Amino acid sequence: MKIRANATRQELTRLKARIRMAQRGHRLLKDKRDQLMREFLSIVHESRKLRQEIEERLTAAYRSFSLARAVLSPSVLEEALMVPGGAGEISVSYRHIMNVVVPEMEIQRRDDGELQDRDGDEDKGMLPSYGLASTSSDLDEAIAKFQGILPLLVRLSHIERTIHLLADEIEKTRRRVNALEHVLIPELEQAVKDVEMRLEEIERANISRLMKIKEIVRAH
Amino acid sequence: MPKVAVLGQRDAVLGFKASGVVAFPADNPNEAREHLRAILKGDYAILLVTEEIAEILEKDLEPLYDMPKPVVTILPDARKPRGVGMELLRKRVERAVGADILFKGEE
Repeated sequence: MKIRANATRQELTRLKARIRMAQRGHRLLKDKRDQLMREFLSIVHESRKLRQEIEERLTAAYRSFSLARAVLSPSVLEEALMVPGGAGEISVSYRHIMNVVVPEMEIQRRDDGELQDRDGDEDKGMLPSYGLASTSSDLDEAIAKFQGILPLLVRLSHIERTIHLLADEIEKTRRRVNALEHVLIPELEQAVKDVEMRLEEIERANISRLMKIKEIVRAH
Repeated sequence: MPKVAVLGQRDAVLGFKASGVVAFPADNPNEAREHLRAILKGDYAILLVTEEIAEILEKDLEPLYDMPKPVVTILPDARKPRGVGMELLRKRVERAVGADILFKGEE
């Protein structure tokens, strides 16, 4: 698409102002893109490590759990897990990365377990929500493993969401940068050149006309 | 206060139940889809989905990635992790960066 402009000095000034504006926007967006990219890369590596750790630990947890399931009868197990355990409420807050709103989540521990107040250790403070008499220690172990993984999963969840949001924003910003760099700015520059050439042409036409008139006037 | 939901095969989700996660055991696609509808109506901040269910419900989960809540996270499978979650991560990186920088030279 070609930018149409009248061959006037006013138009020329206006075009030049637009170029300056576009270049400034381009610089800013480029900086934004670079910064987003830096954030993105560090967070991607973190998420990758976290996911690997979770996959390992979860496999171990599943193994313990199937061990517990093998020992206990299905009905006892079903009964033991009927009552949901203590934690599991999530508090969500928001953070801004380069104007992208990303969630941050944390597990909110309920305060009804007196144990956690006494020794202050959150992970040990969970009281099992099932009877100890009818269940085996394998189940305790498996459930402790699952509980240990949960905070990691919460972390992974918000990190992955952040990655998703940042990826969207980076893509958008990159498109804008490219549109400015490869489309708008070259077109504006071309338009400036066209106008300048036309103005010069008018100027030359004017001069030659004056010379001609002078000649005619002098001949009289 | 929003909670965490886990959707997957019965044996994969039961273990989470004691940690305060709300479990939705699903043994077939229809059940899973029904559970998903219930989850979307409830107040959940995070939805954990096992790989197997995530593959079946791919189309249903797609729009959720752009919603503020719940955040969908894919769990590795109990028996054989297939790396569906990693694959999703790789796709996002590729889209943002324009190249696969995360896993290049590893496969």
